[in-house]
Amino acid sequence: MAVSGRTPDYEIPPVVETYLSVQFTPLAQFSIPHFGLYWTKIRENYPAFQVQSPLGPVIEQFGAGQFVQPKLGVELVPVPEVRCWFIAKSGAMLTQVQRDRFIHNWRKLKPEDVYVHYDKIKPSFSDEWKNFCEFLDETGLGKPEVNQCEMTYVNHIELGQGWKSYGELNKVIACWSGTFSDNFLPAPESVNIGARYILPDNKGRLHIEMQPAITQNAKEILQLNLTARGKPESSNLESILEWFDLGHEWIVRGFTDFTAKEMHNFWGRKI
Amino acid sequence: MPKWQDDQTIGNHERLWRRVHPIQITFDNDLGEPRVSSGVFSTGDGLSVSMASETTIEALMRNYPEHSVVEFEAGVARSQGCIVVRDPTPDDPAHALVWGPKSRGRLNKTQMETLRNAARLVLYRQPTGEGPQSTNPDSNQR
Amino acid sequence: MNELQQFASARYTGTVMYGGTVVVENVSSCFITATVTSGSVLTYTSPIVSNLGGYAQWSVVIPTRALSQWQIQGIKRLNEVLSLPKNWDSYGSCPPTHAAANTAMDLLTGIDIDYFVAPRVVPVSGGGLQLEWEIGVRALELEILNDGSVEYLTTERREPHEEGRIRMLNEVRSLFLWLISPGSIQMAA
Repeated sequence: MAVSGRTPDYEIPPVVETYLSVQFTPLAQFSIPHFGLYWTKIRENYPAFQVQSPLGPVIEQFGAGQFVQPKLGVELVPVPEVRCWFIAKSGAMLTQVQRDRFIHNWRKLKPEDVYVHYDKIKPSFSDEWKNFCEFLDETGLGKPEVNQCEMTYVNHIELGQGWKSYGELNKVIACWSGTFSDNFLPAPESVNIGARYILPDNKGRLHIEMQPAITQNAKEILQLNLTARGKPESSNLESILEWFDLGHEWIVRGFTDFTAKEMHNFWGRKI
Repeated sequence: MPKWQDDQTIGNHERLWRRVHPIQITFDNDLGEPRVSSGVFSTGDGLSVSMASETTIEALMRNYPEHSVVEFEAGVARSQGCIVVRDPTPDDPAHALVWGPKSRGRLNKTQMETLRNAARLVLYRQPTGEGPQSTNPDSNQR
Repeated sequence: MNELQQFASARYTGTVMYGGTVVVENVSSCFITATVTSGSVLTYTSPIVSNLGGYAQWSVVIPTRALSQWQIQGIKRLNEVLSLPKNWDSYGSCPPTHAAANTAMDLLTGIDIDYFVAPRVVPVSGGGLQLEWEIGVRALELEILNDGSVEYLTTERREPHEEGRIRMLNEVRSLFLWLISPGSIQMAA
């Protein structure tokens, strides 16, 4: 479906986090000391760190391969795999590194924090990725062969803000009618939704996941995550950013299509 | 923080009033009546009360249409090792403090529970909307 | 994450069970099987793509299907209390502090008991709050102070039984077990 024009925009969108991620063939020589070496390069802006368990590789498949039921395997390895979080001074930006992944996150710290638009996060990601690639080059670790790009928008739609119960889910989700064939069932206690959409020319997929959740400050919400994932044309920065532009468009237009007009008014749709 | 001294001019039978927010009142299924939580007697520093002999319920509740009032005797607090001191304020000349043994005059949990058991609601205002929280033994399904 | 996950690396994507225990199988003749118990919620994976281990997401939420009814009810009550305005007690108190709220959430979501009663949640002056349970003749109060520390009181037939400080979550579990032990119910019968 061809769409032209500017992507939708909102005064107070419910987005609480966005991240841009690049996955590449594991760098064979990247090991524990390299996390520290990289940190010395970025420490002024990212003074804090945390060690996390690694993320598994994720690749969108198309064609015959997508229907093969994979099995999960675990093997013991001599050197632990880790993921390191490097946390910015502000506490609102994060860079995550593991030997086959680079991720750059923004999150809302306080309710009154303003959403940082894609046109600011994209250059921020670009700078950090260039910095990381320079580091890899300087330390002789090679050039990353990018096999997937991924971007996610995390939205928190709070109960009581435009909708009061799952009986009013039709006010939140456009494709949820809230009606039933025989009027037997009562209003649901909770609803989970998962949907997948293929991007044009099999450039990837858009995944939409909605689930009831509770925040750390005890708010009941619907967490609505939109994740675009796919393979860029090449490993160079231009191709990566071009893919992210596509992913961003699908996420923002997908979000607008998926959510109901009542909520668009609530969020102050501008475009 | 000045060291408070127990004020003996406040007799043991002096009734002490404390305002209670509706959310601090729970429904006791056994007694079949509302009961305050022991949390009413926990504060950051010193427990604010008003001496019933030196004020009226109307004066105490003038600006608080939703709150209720709980009452206990000064002697009960003293029997638990607390002291009772006058602390008049411009808004409440009958204001007093029950000062416990912990830092900044906090009472310990046993003292709070004892006051709770001895206290009675002298003014109960039913919360608007839903009633007080109760512990529902049936709410144990996954 | 458990020790196995610290030193194991998943080489293939696959299907995992949502939450609880993950059972993994071998994909080749090199047999290494393990049961990995995850403390975090794992997403159901499609045949096309799966997402293993942790998440790239930074912000943390708890899916309600990972919680028992009593936890959900307790959290709803906590939310009410956290929404109180300044001077809610008429003596100038602030609403419960972030530290108190965080501790309350940790207590409510960290106790691994499926079937239990929902607590009453009551604010206390000075920025703290209190969680209260009553079963039979026994009661348990966990008072969370404004700095997030926790004191407890157990009562039996409304008489104080024991009080103290809580330093670790597993101390709360033993208090819960005392609360629901046969003595509590028999004495009430």
